[in-house]
Amino acid sequence: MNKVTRPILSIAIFLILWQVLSIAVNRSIFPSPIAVFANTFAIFEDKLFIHSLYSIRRILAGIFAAAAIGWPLGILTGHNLKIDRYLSPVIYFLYPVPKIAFLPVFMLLFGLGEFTKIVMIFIIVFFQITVTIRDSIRLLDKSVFYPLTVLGASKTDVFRYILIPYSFPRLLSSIRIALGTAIAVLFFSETFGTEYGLGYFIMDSMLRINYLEMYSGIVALSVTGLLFFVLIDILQNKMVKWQTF
Amino acid sequence: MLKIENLSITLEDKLVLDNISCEIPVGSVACIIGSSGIGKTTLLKTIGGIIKPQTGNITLNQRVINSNDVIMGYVPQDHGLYPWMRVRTNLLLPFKIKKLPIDPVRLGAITAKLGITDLMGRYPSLLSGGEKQRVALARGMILNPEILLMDEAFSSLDAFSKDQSRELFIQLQEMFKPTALLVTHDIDEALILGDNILVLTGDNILTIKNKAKSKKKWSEEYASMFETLDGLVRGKIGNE
Repeated sequence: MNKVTRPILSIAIFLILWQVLSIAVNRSIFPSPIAVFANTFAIFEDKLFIHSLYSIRRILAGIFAAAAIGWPLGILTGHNLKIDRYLSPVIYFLYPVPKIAFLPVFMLLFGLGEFTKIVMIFIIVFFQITVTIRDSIRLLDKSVFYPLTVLGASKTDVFRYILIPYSFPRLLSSIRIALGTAIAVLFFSETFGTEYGLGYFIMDSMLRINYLEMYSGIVALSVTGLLFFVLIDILQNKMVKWQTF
Repeated sequence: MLKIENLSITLEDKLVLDNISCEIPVGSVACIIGSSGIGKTTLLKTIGGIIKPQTGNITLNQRVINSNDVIMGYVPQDHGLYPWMRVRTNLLLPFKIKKLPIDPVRLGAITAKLGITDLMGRYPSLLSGGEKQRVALARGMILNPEILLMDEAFSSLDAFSKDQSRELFIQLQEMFKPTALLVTHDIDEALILGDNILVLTGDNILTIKNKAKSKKKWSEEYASMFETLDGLVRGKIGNE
């Protein structure tokens, strides 16, 4: 069995089990995969596409903001002990708090709109990136810097030629780890203050007792997550070739 | 002349080098030997600006050595290549750090001499130990450094690669004449490569002219030098 047939087989087994269960349960609350996928394709253009687009936009904005702030902050705290002494206590204090607990705070601060949803994704991915990058930089052996030190390299050179390329694979890993939680929280935050997004679509379908659409929404959410994982894999293979050997 | 004067280094409250002084002629090879933990690498790192000395001076032709003003090359035991850079980028890094224009003639000459021209597009993880060390040597020499620092540079290589890399080093040294300092624990290596041998002995540094350089291993002069150095490293001979 090769790289292609193995995942196809595992998905096929999952779908067969789902089909058998739906026949056994025989209720509209548990439709068959054939019905769900047929409905997903049927409503994709008119309904799912726009909801998926909103969710993807929120995830992308949250991840980009988290990477733009968390990556350099992780490098700084990992590389500079003085900065670390000030920032680490705050990071350690906030990191263990389930980020969903911040939702009411952000709702009060920023309202029920788009910004709150993006901030929720940001806060989840940000902590994951900052802590992962900080720890990986701290583990970096000092001897890595010696060839540059002997050449009289500046701090900018150290960032550019060592710290940034070294930490880039860790950045992608931390985004991958945080993505699952980020999508879960996105789902939750899309259930209020919006009429767009897969979270809204799934909950709205449930309230309308349209279970087929509800399942189609879940499939779309799952495919959205999968797309992000594939995107990160592509980035990893293209930009971190040195780690793939 | 590369002069080390009254150099003292304390690391984590431990006095590693205590007021040592020595002189190394410009363009020569000095091999630093001594027992483990005696401060060989510390001395090399201090010359390279990695460790700041508490007291003392290091000068090259009466200029205080500063990594911003003096061009130095560094070849560590683990080759020190950056795994995220291809061989070519690793080799060109010193030009970028020093903000110097890339010298394609020199790059071509060194890569051809070291037989690494075909490796330029590869990542270090795809190179053998010997190839990595040759690339590291090329990077150390690429800017025509005034000082070349090598820390156990050949010790992790197998016997064949070691001989090959040492031979290439000798040829490059003769071509470009940097003042080279090699830390080694291998007395044979010191006798093969060094014009002078610096023996660190806890509280002193002895500079011994290597009369056995380019002598055969089984010659009388070589054997006598080996015995003397071995005795000094093991502390069986007094410093006087």
